[in-house]
Amino acid sequence: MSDESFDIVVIGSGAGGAPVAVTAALADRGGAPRVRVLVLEKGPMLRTQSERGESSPSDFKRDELFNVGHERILAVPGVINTGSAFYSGRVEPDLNDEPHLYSRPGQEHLKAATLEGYTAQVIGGGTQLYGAVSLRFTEDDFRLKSYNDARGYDLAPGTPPDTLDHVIDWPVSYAEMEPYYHLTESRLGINGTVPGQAKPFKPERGVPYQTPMEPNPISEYARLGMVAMKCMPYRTPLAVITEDHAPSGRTVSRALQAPKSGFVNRYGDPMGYKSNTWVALLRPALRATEAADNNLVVRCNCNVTHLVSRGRRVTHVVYRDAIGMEHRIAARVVVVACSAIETVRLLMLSAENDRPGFGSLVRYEESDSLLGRFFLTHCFGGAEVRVPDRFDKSISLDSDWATDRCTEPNFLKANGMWAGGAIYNNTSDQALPISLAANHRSADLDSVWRGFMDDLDLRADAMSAWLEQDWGRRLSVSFMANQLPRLENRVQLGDHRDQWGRKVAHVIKDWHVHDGHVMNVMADFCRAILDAGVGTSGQALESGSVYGNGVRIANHVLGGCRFGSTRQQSVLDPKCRVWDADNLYVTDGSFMPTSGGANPTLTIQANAFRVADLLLNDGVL
Amino acid sequence: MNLDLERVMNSAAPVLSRLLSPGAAIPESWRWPVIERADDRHNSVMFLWDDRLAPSWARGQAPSVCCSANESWRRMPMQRVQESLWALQVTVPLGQVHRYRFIVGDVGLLDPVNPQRVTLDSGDVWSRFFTWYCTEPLSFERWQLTLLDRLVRHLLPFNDSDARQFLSREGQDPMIRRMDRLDVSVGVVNFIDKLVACQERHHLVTYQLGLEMIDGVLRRRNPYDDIGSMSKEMFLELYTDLAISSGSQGRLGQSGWQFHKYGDPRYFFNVLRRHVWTGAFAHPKYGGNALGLAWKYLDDRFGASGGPGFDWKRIMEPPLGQSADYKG
Repeated sequence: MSDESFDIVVIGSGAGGAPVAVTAALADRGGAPRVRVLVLEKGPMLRTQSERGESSPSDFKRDELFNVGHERILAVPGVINTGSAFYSGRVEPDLNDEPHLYSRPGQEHLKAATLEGYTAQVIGGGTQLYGAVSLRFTEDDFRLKSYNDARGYDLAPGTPPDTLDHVIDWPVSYAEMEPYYHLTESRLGINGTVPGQAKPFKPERGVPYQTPMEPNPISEYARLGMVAMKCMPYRTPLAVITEDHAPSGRTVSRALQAPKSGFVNRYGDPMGYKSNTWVALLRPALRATEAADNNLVVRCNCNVTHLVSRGRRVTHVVYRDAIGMEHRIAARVVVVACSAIETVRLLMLSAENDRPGFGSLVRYEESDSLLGRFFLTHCFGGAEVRVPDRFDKSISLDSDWATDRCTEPNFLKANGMWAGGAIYNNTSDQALPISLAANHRSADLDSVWRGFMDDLDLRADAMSAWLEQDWGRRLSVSFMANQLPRLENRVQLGDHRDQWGRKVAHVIKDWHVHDGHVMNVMADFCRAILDAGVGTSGQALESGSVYGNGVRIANHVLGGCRFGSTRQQSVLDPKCRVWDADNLYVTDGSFMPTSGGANPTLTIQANAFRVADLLLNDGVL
Repeated sequence: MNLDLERVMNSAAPVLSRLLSPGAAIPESWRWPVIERADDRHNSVMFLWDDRLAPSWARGQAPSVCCSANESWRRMPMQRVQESLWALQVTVPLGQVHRYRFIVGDVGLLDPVNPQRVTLDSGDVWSRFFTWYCTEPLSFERWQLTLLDRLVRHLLPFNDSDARQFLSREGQDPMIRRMDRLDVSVGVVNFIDKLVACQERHHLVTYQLGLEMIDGVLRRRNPYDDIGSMSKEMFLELYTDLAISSGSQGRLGQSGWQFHKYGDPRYFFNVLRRHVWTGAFAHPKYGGNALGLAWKYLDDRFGASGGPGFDWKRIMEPPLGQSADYKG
C-alpha cells in the first residue's frame, strides 16, 4: 500500500471541490514551495473536442441517448420499486451500483431507490450536466431568520407556529460573499445582464458577465409576460461562454450561434463552451502548474472509501483506483465535496469505521448531532404554455429571461411567504425529439418515459398530430425558491450495500405545508406570466410544483452538513470546517443552512473560493 | 492503433473497480469491447482483458486477440496497461459484424464481460461485436423482421400525406436512393434488432414472445393473407387491442393470444412504442434514422417563416451534419 502525501486532498472535482483545488494550487506563497494538491474524482476523465483534437472524437456527444439512454432494470432487492425500469445517462451513476434510497419521514421502511439527488460522476461533477443557470442569492437569502424575525410572524393564515424553528442565518453575509460571486463569474465565464437583478453588484468592479447571445424567439413570450406582470426581466446568467474567455483560455467558434445546440442542459458540452469546473478551472490550472511546479494532480476513476483520523486531525484519505486497488494518501488538509448526499455518506462511513475516533470528530450518532440533518433541495415548479407559432428550440441555451420580482420583500409580505425565489424561462426543455417524448408527462427523473409509454393513444395518426401540436411550441417558465429547513429531513446510512459492500445513503424528506404555500404562489405567478405573454393566442398547459412529490430533488442536493455560527446549531463552523476537527472541510452544497432562492451552483463555487482564501490566509496551508 | 491510456482506464474502471468485491455485479457489460468513432468510415474497437477475470491457469500469461475483422486471422498481441489489465485497439469498418476470442497459451477464450455470443454451424461459440451503422440482422428471423416492420410502419408519425410526400421526394435524392435502409420504419426495425442484441438484451425475450403472440392473432384474424400484405386497418385494430389489453376474455384472447405464455400485451406495446420513437430519432449510428432522415423530416415539415424546423445539420458532425467544430 503506497503512502503518498499531499498538502491538501480535495474529494470531488465539481462546484465545491475545484475552486478550492485551483486556488490552493495557483497560490503564490512568496518563494515558499507551492501547495501540493490532489483532486480525487470518482468518475471518468471525459474530454472536449478541442482536447481530443481534429482527428479524434469528443468524449461528450451530441447524442440524445447519451443523456436518457437505454432502459435498465432496478435489481436492488427489498425496495418498493425493485424490478422497475430506469434510464440514466452516461455519466450518472448506475442505480444498481450505488442506489440512493428515499422515503418520507415516519415511513422509513417504505424505501424506493431513486435517481433524484444524483449530480454526475465525471470530471467536473454536476457542472458538466447542469443547465448552467448561475444566479446569485439575494441579500435576504443569507439572513432569513433575522429577516423573518424583523417582520413579525406574518406568514399566510394557517401556517403552523413551528414553521421557522429550524431556520438560521448564514454566518456569512451577502456583502462578504459578493467579491467571491464576482470572482466566480469572471473566472468561470458567465453570460448575462445586471439591470433588473435584485442583487447588488459593485459598479467599481465592472460587469462580471459576457454579452448574452440573441434569445431564442420563443422566449419573447416569456419576456412580454414578465413585463406585463411588472417584472424587470434580465437575461438569465448562464455559465456558457459566448465570446473568447481569457481566464480559462477558451475560444468560441465564429460559426453562427455556435454555443447553441439544445445539447447543453443535461448533456456534457463537447465543445467546452459550458463553463464547467473542468474546462473553466481545473484544466487551465493544470496547464499552468504543469509548466511550472507540477503541484496539482487530478486523478479520475478513484473512489474514496473513508477518511482516517488521529485526535482532532484527519491524517489519511483512502481510495480505490480504477482497477480496485486501495491507496492511502497522507494529507495536511482534507476537503470533502462529493455532493451533499455522498458527502454525508462518506463522513458517516468513515465514522462507522472508527467510532471512537473519526466518529466523535463528526459527532456521529451523538444525541446532539446534526450530521445529515436539514437536508434541503429547492421548492420548484412552474407553468407551461403552447404558443401559437413554432420555433426551433434546439437553437438555444437553457434559459433566456429571468426575474427577481418574487424575491422582493413587498411580494413576500403580500403573499405571506417566509422567503422567495427566482423565476426564469426554459428554452431547451423538450427541444430535441427523444427528450420531447421521454419527458412527456413525466413527473421526475424516475418516471422518464413513463408518461409517453402510458399515453397509449399516442400511436399512428395521433402520434403525428401530437408532434404537429407540440414540436417547437411548448414554452415553460420555472421558479426556484427556498425550501424550509427541517430537522426530520435528513440523510443517513441505509441497510442496503452498494456493489463494493459499503452502506448506501438513505434520504428521508418531505415538504412542509408552508413549502406548499410558497410553491402555489410561485406556480400561479409563472402561470400569470405565461398567460400575459401569449394572451388569447396561446393555450395554457400544466402548471404546478413538486409539492406532494417528496422525492423530487432535481440534482440540487443541499444541506446535511450545514454551517453556522455556533457548534450547537451546525456541523461546520463559518469557515466550513467540521467544528471539532482541525483540518477537515466540507465545501459542496451540504454546507447550506437554507437553500437560497435560486439555483445553487454559483453560490457553492463562490463559497468554495471563499474557503480557499481562508485556508491560505489563515496559514492552514 | 495506439492506446490512449486515459480512455482505456475510463472504459475499464466501471468493470474492474469491483473485481475485488466478492459478488459484485458487472454493470453495462455490453460496453465491452469499447467502440468509438475512428474516422468517417471506421470505428475503433478496444478489447480489454483482465487476468482476474480469466481462469486461474490463464493468469499471468500474455493474451492476444483472434478476430474475424483481421482477414488473415493473425493473432494480435495485447498490450499490458497495468498490473493485470491488457488492452488492444483495432480499426474496423462501419457496418460490420465480427467474432473474436482471446487467446491465452493456445486456448481460445470468450470475452468474460461482453454478453454477445455467436454459435457457428460447427457448434463453436465465439464472442461477437458489431460496428456502428450495422444493418445485418442479429436478433430476429426473417418473419419477425417482416412483422416488426408492419408494426412499426403504422405506429410512426410518418404515415400522413405530408410525410408520404416528404419520403417520396427524398427518395429521389441520389444519396438516399442508394441506401438499402431508406425507409424510416425499416431503420427502426434495424435499430431494435441492434438494441436487443446489445444495450437492452433483456427485451429480446419481450419481442420473441410478443411477436409470436401477435403473429398468431393476425393469422387467426386473417388466415388468407401473409403478414406483408395485410391491410393497415388490421394493424390499427391490433394497436387498439394491445392498448386495451383486456385479458384472456377480451378481443386478443378471443383471437388466440396465449396469456399463459405472455400475460401483458400492453407492456409489449409500451416497450415497442418507446423503441419506435427512440429508433426513429436517435443518432443514425445506432442503426435507425438513416442519414438523419427523421431529423430532416422534422426540419422540412415544421420549418416556418424562414426559420428551420430542426436545424440539426448545423450541430451534427460531418459527414452526417455540417458542424465545423464537432467531430462526433
